[in-house]
Amino acid sequence: MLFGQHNFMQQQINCQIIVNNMKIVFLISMFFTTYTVNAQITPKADSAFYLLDTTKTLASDKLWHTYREGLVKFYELKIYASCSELMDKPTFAYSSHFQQPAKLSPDKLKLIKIFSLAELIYKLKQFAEEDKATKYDVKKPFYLYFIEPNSGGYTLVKTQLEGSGPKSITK
Amino acid sequence: MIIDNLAGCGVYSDLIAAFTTEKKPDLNWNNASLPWAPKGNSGTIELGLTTTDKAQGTVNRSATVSLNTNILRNSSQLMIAAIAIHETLHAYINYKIITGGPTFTAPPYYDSNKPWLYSVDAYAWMLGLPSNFRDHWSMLDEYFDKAVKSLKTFDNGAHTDQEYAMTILYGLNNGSDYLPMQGLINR
Repeated sequence: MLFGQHNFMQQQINCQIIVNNMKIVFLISMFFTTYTVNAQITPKADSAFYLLDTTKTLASDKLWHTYREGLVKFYELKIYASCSELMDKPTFAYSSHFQQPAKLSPDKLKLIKIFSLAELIYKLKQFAEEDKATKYDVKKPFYLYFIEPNSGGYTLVKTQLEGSGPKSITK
Repeated sequence: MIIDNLAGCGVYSDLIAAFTTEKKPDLNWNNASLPWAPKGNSGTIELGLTTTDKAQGTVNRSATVSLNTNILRNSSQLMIAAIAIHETLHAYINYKIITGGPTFTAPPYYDSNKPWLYSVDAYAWMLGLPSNFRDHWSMLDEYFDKAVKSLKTFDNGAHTDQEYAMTILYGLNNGSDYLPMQGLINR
């Protein structure tokens, strides 16, 4: 709702992330200098790789919740932070309209460094803090590459953290 | 308190239904130091704004509404409620467009069964219309009655229907955008 010039200013917030029963699962991490994937990589983005294998995870450790809506698949991480929108149930998603999970051979999987869940959450926390200090129109997206078991092998898919990336404003 | 009361209004609760589940998307609220220089008809006042994702093909349908701190301190509850409804409509329209678009639904793009807002969005995108114009157009054409009804319910009918309509009209001018054709809508 605008009468005159706009001047956007986000509320400054600090937060403490609470994670219950967080244990290390499998995982992977690595930066794109050591591994190239088919998906396009935006230089001004932050990212990580993560292996999600729910079949090998104890029920008590399942912090990930996946669901579909239409063509979109969501990966919701059940951690809560009331004063950070990015860290409150951080949710990653992709639309199969734009991409299909790519096959990943065990040999290629060995080339990828794995993020633990703790490392991923720490990286997200750092990203959220940086995002808070970034102007709305130049905010960076955060991409998480999910690697999941599939038919004896693995698939790789690029997801984006909901709420990350440049914003538009209506008034 | 105003938002909570609005949420109890039937028409308004329909607009926020998608944002009130345990899953995404979320509708976040905050207050911000926005322009506040009232000076008759020539002052600069920004009542509120809604922030959404910029990228095409995004899966993110969440939105953040920022209300002018000075408005919250100086305006009537009726005016604040009208601003909240206006900004909520921005978030709702953004939600509907993305949900009805190819990101969430299968091609073909211009299926006639798609929500009409998707066609508006495609039209606006092709012509380079600003999203602010697109949203205000939709609000006037499709959601004006709902906005007025929400405000009347919130206010328990303490004012006239014309006064509610005038309050909701506030902010629906597109003077800050740039196309001459918008003058037709602003009249």
